[in-house]
Amino acid sequence: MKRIYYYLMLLIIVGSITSCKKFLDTKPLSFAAPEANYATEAQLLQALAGVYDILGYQRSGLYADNFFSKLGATTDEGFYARPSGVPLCATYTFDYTEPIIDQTWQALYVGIERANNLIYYINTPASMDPVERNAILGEAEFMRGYYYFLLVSNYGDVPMRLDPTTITGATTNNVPRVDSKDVYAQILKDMTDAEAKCYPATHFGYSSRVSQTTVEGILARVCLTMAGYPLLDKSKYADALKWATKVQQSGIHSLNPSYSQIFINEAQDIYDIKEAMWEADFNGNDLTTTLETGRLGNTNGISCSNTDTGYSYGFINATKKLYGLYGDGDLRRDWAIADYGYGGNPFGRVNKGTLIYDRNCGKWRRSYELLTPKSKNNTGQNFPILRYADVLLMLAEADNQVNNGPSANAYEAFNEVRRRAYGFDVNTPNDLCDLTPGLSVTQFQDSIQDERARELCFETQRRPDLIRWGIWTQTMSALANQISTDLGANALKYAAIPAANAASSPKFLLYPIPASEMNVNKAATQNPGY
Amino acid sequence: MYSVWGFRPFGNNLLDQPFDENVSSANDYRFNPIINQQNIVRQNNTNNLAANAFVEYAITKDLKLRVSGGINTRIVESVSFNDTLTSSGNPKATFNKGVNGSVNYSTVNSWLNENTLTYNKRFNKNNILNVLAGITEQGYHTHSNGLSNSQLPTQATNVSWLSSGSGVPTITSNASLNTLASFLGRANYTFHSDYLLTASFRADGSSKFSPENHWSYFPSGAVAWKFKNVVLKNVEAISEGKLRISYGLTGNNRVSDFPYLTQYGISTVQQGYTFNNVEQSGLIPQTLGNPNLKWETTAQWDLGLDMGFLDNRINLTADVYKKTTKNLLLQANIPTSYGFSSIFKNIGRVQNQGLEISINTVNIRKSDFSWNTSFNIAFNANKVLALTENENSDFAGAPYDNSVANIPAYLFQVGKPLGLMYGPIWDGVYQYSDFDKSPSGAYILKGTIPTNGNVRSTIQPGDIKYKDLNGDGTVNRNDFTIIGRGLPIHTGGITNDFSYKGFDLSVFFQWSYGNDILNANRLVFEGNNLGKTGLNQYASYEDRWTPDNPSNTLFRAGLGAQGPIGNSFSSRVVEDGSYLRLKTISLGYNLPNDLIKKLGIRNLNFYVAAQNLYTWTNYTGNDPEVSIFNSVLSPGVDYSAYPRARTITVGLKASL
Repeated sequence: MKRIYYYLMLLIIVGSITSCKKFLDTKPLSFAAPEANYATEAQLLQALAGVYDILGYQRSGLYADNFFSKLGATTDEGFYARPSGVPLCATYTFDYTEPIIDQTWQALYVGIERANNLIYYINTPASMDPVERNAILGEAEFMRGYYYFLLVSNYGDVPMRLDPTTITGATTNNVPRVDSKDVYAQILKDMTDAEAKCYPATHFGYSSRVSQTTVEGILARVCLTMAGYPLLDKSKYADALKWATKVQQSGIHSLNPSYSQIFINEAQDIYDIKEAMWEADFNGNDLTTTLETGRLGNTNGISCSNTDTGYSYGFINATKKLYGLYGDGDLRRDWAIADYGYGGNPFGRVNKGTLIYDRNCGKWRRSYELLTPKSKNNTGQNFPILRYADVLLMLAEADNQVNNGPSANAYEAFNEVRRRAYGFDVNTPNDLCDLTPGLSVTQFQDSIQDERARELCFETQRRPDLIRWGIWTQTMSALANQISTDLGANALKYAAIPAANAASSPKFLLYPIPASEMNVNKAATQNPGY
Repeated sequence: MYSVWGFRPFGNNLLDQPFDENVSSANDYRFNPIINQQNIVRQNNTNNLAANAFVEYAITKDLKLRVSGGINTRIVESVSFNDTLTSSGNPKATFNKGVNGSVNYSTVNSWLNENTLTYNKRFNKNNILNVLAGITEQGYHTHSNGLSNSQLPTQATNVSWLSSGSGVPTITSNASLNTLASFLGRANYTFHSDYLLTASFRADGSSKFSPENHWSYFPSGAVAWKFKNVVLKNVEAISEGKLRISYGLTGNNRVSDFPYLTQYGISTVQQGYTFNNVEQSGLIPQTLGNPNLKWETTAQWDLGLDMGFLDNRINLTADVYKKTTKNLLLQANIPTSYGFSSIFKNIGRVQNQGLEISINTVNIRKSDFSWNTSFNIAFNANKVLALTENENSDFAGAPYDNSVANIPAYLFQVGKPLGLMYGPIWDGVYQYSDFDKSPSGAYILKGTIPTNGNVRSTIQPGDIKYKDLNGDGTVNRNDFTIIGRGLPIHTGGITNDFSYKGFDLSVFFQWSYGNDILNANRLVFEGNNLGKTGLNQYASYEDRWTPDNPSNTLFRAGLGAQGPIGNSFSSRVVEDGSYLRLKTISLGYNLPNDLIKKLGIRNLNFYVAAQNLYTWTNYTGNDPEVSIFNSVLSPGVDYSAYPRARTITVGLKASL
């Protein structure tokens, strides 16, 4: 009898030991193994949405707010219209702990990680349409390239990861920065790959996903950036011309006859793939739980305290310099720079005087939004990342450099933009607005530089443009002087301070590598001056 | 408390109004706190079932097997409902949800099985051996499901109306589990009843780590020597003496259930994108797993002395300890270029050492009156020995409001204790004498005086002033320094018990000494740092700087007066949190036995007890015991905390 108990006990113990391994090998109940998330075409599309999501990161990052109302607030086009409480990135008083510069860095790398995962798992669905698979892969590659482009052009040399961290693990905290040239080479590789894979713009009929011509247009932008400061790789002008010409010759794109209509469409969630080639897409009025809204028109719109009209803080005002760039009859001026505000009793529009500096950026007007009730602080307005007008101006700029003077095609591209601006037919030569013929390389380049401000102001192009042209410091310094002269003792005179700060040191041509990276990554060096 | 302090009880009979019409509600959560409390529904219904059983079998005279098991099931139904007269459901609320509510069910099942064998052998009078070996297994299984809806009809009265809501219903669901298995062994050996030896060993396996790292091993050993009978046999005054020394390892697996796995998720909130004006939910890697994660271990030395004097009328226990915790299971920062900002890692080392003394005395022991006192005091000093790879210091915020989450409030630095408060040193208010007056009448800050971070030309008399520690002429984050300590130098308590005939009285005091409190209330209610419209302020705000009252304690009212770092905790709001508190008094009366015996009752006891009766402290807030984040990383933050209740209990206890 006793023996039986011993056996029984032994059995319990042995049983326990052998089952222990199994017992401890628990499986998660509410999430699946990585591959199971990428197993179907629909799941790949969800993953792609996750990659694009960064464009409006948490309703404040990138094109949801920070790019146009904070990081891009201080240029010769406009200024942050508050004397205090201004984000440090807009006053150019920041150091490497600046939170918005840090958040932007983090958002871009989160986007790269999402793209890397999608690229890694792209072949997981066993059977799906190969064209669709290819297009999704192309978009993921393009977006990875685009996020690296935003990184390298803003931060200089940066760590480069092409494999998902979820696969490699975060094994060491010492991650060196990669030379800008190599980062650009990878960007060109990713985008060129994508160009062959993405759908033509006509396939979608909307501007939220990247099409073949969008890739070409952004490639032109990347190449122009490489041709300018700091890389100064002049050979890239030819590539920029090649890509811009491809967009032009696709026949898919053309200018919207009305400049203001581009932005009204964006306020009303109407796509215009001909002109607005690629938009950061926002949607809704926060009455759903998805919260896919941004702040376009709210932080940078026409200041308005009425929620029904559309609440706006009016943080971004125009400079008199920008106002002065427009010729008589240029319809863009009073759309980009609002000639009215809101107030009074009864509440309504109040026309602005001649000060100019008190005029808000008026490109995205909440009064045109159709979806009601309007959310106080968030909007569904789409942000134009690439417009056909931009492609035409890039084409003209590259052509002028390649041919050591503008060709007829360069003139034609330039003049199309100008004719639309004055409300004329874009294809009919018109002495009232066409550019003076026979300009030299430099004269044509100067015209391009002014035209880009007139056409693309407040669209986050100005700071990178001024930097690649090598004129950021001198432009901002001159602007500070002009503001001081223009405004004298006026309350808005503080606007000169951020401009003067921006010109105070060449370090501002790059942002610092932010604290979230520097604090733990001892292999990363800091940018000069920070 | 925010609503209570911030509500302005004047004007058009605001006490009866749900909100103050002059306050912009779009980014302000104030709502009449009384009306809110009267109408809000927050209900938790808990069902708990616990069952335990064991069998014991003596295999031989000395060897015993014990098998025990227990299960525990806990189901919680949480109901919340906000009608039009609540801060969340009113038509002006920030997110415009309308009448809204939610129901959530969560179930926790846990079970435990323990199997032990004990061997007790008394070889002879002087040699006793006691051995225990065992296997235990336990599991913990959770799941929860819930749903919420908004835009319910205004006539809705409870959550049964959720299906009538025209909002977008949200469904939440979750489930997880973890298991733990242990092998343990322990041997006690007593020699001559004066020498005690203990050695133990346990192997713990946790499902929370990857299969390679399930197991960790924790040995320990202890020796005790009752020296009274050996060396102090003839000292009458000393009735007991024992010296103890021990060393051991213990483990900690307090992490989520699957931290070693990378988690992907489909998020429909803010993590998707819009294609063609249709919102598409996004699939994203959410958390990065760390397959190398393993048990956190603490090694502890303890040296103890137990003494009894005068027939144990006085007992003294003293312990000195030193423990070092390594491989702490914490969210560690990683370079954000990985696409993740943190990961669960075994990082750092923290050392705690301290002294604990407790003394119990029997002051008076008579047949009908006795008086006992017990006193204890604990000193603890901790030190960070290492942080994560490459990190020499790190910060934690004190996110009492979303807008301040990223502002450093606590510093961790290798070689320094935990919980150091971090911020600028407040230096009063800029006075007229700090300015040059320009011909046009404007006040321009003198060039020799540092700015508070605002542009020099915009600083006005009455603005807040901080110390410019690095002397660069302006105050910014580089001028932050240690401004307080969140953890006390010593804490303790003293209890006096009196009994007289059937009465017994117990008086308990407790104290804490040397810790500071970050009083965020004073940022918000003495200067309105978050810039809310129409926010009522503390009475002390009357003494703020005005041209007629050049106060040096509070800066002037108005935008910009608090400077760009006005949201940071400065030394202005760090207060000494030391206190002595009369924590508990209780008085009881036992009815005499002969009286109640007639009633057939064995014991009848009346008592009255009161808690938190009185506190001696210099802290200006409600409660010096406050710590709203309840974390060793950010101790002692006070913001809008509910005051500690003064409780009075009256009771009657009877045993039959």
